This record gives sequence, structure tokens and C-alpha cells, in this order.
Amino acid sequence: MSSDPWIVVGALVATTFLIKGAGSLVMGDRELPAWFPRFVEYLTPALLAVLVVTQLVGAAGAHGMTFDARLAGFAGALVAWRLKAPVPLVILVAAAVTAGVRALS
Amino acid sequence: MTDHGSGPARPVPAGGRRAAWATGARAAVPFTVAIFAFGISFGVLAKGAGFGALAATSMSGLVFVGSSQFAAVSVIVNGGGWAAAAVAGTLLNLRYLVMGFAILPALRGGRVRRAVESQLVIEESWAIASDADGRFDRVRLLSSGVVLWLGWVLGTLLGAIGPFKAVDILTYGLDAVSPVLFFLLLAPHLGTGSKRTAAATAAACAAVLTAVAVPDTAIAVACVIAVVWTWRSR
Repeated sequence: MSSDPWIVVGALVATTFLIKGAGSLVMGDRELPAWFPRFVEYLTPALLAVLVVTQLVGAAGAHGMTFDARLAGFAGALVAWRLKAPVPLVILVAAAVTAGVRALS
Repeated sequence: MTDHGSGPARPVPAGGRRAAWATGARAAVPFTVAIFAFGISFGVLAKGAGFGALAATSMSGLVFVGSSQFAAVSVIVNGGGWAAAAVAGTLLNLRYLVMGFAILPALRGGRVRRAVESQLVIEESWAIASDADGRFDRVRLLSSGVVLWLGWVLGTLLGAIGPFKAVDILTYGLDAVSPVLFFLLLAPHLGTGSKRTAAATAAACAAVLTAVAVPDTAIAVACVIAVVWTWRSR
């Protein structure tokens, strides 16, 4: 692993502290521009959607998309989620279906 | 209902603050169960990415944003560098700029103290602290935040020092947990049609960019999509 985990931890801790504390630290009594909350409203779902896809069909060291047992686990979790299963159960379904399909193939 | 202490001009009783602490902590419990499980998966993922238990647990204790930490570690798992990992994590934190500003009037003390108290803001504690009139309760933020924080940090520690190995991640199907968790985090942000189209467009772009082997650029594309949708919604 070429990346030093502590560098990532340090960088993310610093930016998180500044972002979460920005209200009192950086901006004082000034207001955020009016467009900013709207931008974040769209940025959050867009980024999370990207992460769903790259985590689902991406793989370390692979070029192009990788279709494997994760897709079955994801589909199973979606069904559990639609049936309003609690979050830990949805996660359990994802792991169990993926492990099961992988063991069988 | 007793007759003493029921007058309208009655000052807040000494037990009111303690009751608010208990209310916040109790409201946080069901979320904490999920966050504890989420923390275990984060610890396992971080260990697989080469993080020691101390690094993973420190990250959870000091960052305390699941989506951001998962994003940063996922970038490393997929072979990205530390800068790309930190940028991905930071972008997912930007929403706390908005939440932090909203809750600022409820906090007390000097700049540094308010900034430290703001660190306990996550979606769950923010929601628990919010009142129907759009104001926020500081005690409920802090009490629910501490309970959620303990669940997240202890879960991470358990995942990082637990019996799981990198090969176990595949055997137990834990590599499917991360896309599902991101989906569960995504679902509450799909409330309007325009948010859904923004998310769907970003997902389609990410699939194309993964297919042509440049998945890291999808983060930047998501920013562009957010700008375009913000501009369109004027």
C-alpha cells in the first residue's frame, strides 16, 4: 500500500474540523451565499450515487466494470430495504446473499 | 399531572436540562445500533486498506462522518492516492457547512467551543436536535451526538481489531456492504424529482467512467452535475 493511512486521517480530520466548525470559526456573522445550500442539496445525492456505482462494479486493479456476486447481494438488500427491513438486517442480507452466491459459483 | 409547577410563567425546572439530555440520548439509541454495525464494517474496510486499528479508530473519533470516511478509504482500496482519498472525503463533508450554520444559533460560548460542539453534528443528531419551529436544542444535539459517537467509535474499533481478514471480506460478502450503505445514505436525499435525476445522471456517468477505467474522475463529474442542477433550479 503506497498511501500512508495517517496522511489521509490527518487531512480528513483537518478539513472536517474546519467544515463542521466553519460557522463559528471562519464566517463569523456573515451568511453563506443563497445558492450554496442548493448546491449541497444536489452534491450529496450525486456523490453518493457515484459511490454506489463505483463500489458496486469497480474493483481494485481492475480495468473496466466487474460484475460479480456483489450485484446479487445489492439486489437482495434492495428488496429488504423496500420491505422496510431495519438497517442492520439490510446489511446482513447484502453480505449473506453475496457470500452465498460466491460460495455456489 | 400535579398542581405545583404548572403555571405558564414557570421558569425551566432544574430537571428540564436533565430530561433533555435523556430525551436526546434515548432518541439516538435505534440509530446507534445501525451506526455500530456500520462502524464494524468501516473498521473491517479500513483494515483491508492498510489502516491500523489506532488510525481507523482515530479517524472515526475525530471525523465522525461515515459516508466521508467510507469514501476516503474506498478510494484507497480501489488504488487511489491519499490526496484523492482526502478530496473525496472532504466533498462529502460539505453538507455539514449548511447544517453547521443552521445549528449555530443554538450553540453557546466562544468560537472555539462552538466549533468543537459543532463536531457532534451528523444527520441523526442534527435531526434529533431540531424542533418543529426550525430551531435547534443544544442539549439534545450533544446528548444524542455523544451516544452516536460512542457507537461509531466502538464499532470501528471492533471491526479493526476483530477476527476479520482481507480474504474474509470476500468470503463473508462484506464487499457488498459498502455499496449498500452508500445506497442507504443516498435514499433520504432522493426526495425531489430533480435530486433523483441528478443522482441518476451521476450514477450513469460513474458507470461509464468505471467502464473506461477512470472511476476516480466520477467525483469531479458529480461536482459538475451538482453545479448544473443548482444553476437549472434557479
